[in-house]
Amino acid sequence: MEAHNQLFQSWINDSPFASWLALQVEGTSLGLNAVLPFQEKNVGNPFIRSLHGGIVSASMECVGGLLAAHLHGLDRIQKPASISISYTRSTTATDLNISIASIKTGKRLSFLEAQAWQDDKTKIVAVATMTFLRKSEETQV
Amino acid sequence: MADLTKHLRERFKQGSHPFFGKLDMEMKQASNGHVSLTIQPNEWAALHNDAPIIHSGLLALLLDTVCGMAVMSSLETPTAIATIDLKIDHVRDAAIAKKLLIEATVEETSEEISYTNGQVREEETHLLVAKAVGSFMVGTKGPSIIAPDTEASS
Repeated sequence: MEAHNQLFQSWINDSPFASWLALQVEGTSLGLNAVLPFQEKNVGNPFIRSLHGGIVSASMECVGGLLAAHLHGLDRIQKPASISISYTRSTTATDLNISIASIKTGKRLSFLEAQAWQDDKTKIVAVATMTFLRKSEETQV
Repeated sequence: MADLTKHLRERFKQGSHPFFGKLDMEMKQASNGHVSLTIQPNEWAALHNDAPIIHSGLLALLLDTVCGMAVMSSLETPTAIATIDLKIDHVRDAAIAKKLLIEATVEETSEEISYTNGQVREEETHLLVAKAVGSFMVGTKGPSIIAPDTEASS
């Protein structure tokens, strides 16, 4: 997976919204790690300076889309059939780290699990599960 | 219950919002626990550079925001809120050429948690694009982002 880092970054560059998030991704032996560098546009509540929850979920979903593409042998970022996310702690105005791995990958479906944290890896700020369907060839966009 | 329609329309008019400012948005209603708005996507919203469909992560971002707006419009006084859980089903691809109708409603508020649902539909056909169920904690730390002046003076 580590050998695919340039490929993952090229898939992000191929996605205007993922590029706007400015995610940095690297493969690991288990899945992917990513960093969402802090930017002012990521702040959801300017008074307590926390990240927008939707930015957190969108970033986790993008990283999932990269891993799903790799697992399904495709060459572009994928969109999930569903995502479920829980926000376990409030966030601060710093980088967001994301790790994601496959729980189970089959021929048609992948079930992925992601965690997000900031300065302390033991303090998880969000957990997400997502399901990706590998579309049949004729419906691939 | 608060009527935030005018307040939110003014915010979007300024065009300074980091992501709503990138979309052509029309706020129809944000009151009594219900929000309804339309957006006209553009190339920035695309899943791939040459793909005609919207990035699902952007829809997740919009649904989280609109469900939160519905909660804020259901409150008697401005109160800080935070998303606890959000589940989104991406039902079908949405073409960036099509205007989208995004709606969210508060179903119930009990013991400091508001339970919402939201939908994204093609405005013209009403075909379902994505649906969300979200729960929000009401009364978290800090002021409400909707009416900070009111909070600061109280």
